[in-house]
Amino acid sequence: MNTSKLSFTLAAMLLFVLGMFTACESTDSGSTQVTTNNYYGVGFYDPWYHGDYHDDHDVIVTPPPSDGSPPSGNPPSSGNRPDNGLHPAHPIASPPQVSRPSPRPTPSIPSTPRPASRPASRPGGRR
Amino acid sequence: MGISVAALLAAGSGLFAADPPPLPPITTVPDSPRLPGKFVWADLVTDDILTAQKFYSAMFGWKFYDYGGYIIGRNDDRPLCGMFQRLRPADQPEAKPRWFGYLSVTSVGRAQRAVIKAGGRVLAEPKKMPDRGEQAVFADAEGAMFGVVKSSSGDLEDFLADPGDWIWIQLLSRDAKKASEFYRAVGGYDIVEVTATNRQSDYVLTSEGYARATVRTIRSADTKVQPTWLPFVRVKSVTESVALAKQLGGKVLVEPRPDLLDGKVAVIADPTGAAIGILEWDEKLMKGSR
Repeated sequence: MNTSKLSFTLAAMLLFVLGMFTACESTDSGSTQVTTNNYYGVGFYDPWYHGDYHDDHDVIVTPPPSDGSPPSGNPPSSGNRPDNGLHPAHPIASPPQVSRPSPRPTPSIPSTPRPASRPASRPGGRR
Repeated sequence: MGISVAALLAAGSGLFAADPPPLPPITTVPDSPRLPGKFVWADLVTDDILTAQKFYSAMFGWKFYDYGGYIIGRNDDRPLCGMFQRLRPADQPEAKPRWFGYLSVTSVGRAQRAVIKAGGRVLAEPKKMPDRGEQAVFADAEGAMFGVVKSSSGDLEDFLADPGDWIWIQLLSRDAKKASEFYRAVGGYDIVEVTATNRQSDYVLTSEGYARATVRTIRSADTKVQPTWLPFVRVKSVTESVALAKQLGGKVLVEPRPDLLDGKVAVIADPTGAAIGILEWDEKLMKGSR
């Protein structure tokens, strides 16, 4: 193999190796380098919000009571919980005293649990 | 020969880069139950993902990881949101970045049929993803965007969110009762009318004995407000968070006020324009809250 062919092959191999890392570059600082735009299969049209927001109390959340009693009105019919009442509102919440996924600077491997302590008790948990 | 090898390698490189790594599962806690109706994920669509990351990192301490252009945000190592970038349409100056939530379902296909039957639209067809499960994105009958996910690992159980976690989500609707019925059909919710407030036509969607979301009616005078979902993050101090948001280039859409949960809630917009709520959880205050 002459020198020019060897150089070209080496350059191509370098390109390949660089390509391997372009899709998973990340940092812990929030300054992730965006190198591709491969949202996972979703290519939906017009995901934008076309309205306005006003400084108006109507846009404010009204969490339900957190004392375990349902708001007035019809109580929920589902659930086999002991008290069968509305619990505090934690729609997207984290569990206590469970293993946590470890931080993964190279996100090509699925998260695996790791032992980690959580606060002993938390208000509003499942009763 | 050299050229052929180079072309092959270059093509291989391109293929690799175009194949994003698998997303993390919704939860890695073994034997997690599936909790239909629970909002388990949220996505941000924005036209400036780096600015958004910088803002949310400073605001809530989230850390970000790139999954091939789809950015996963984590709070205290727990994945809780995704972000993706789109070009804002030049011919639609009113178009704004936004957050939207994903609710847990037992069947994405069934949810899709319910959406269509109830007058909604499919924005992203159901798709199965390794480790994650199956998900799809819809618009409800009024155009509010939301997702559904059938997590292959189950859902996080219901406990009080930490600061930096999602703690609530709210739908703004022109007809909250009708919208509640829509989500009952899609997510299997029970609907509780909130008559304890001084507001009429507010509803709480519940499932598994837990409150999941509020559905509120947009006042008829607010013609520019469009139906949309608005998620809330728990913060330690709304006052401090509002000050920080301003400092970071965000806008305050709803200032904390004494008559609104004693100033424990506010709505801000990140520097790219996406609205997000912040809520300071106070057990005493929330009892019998308006």
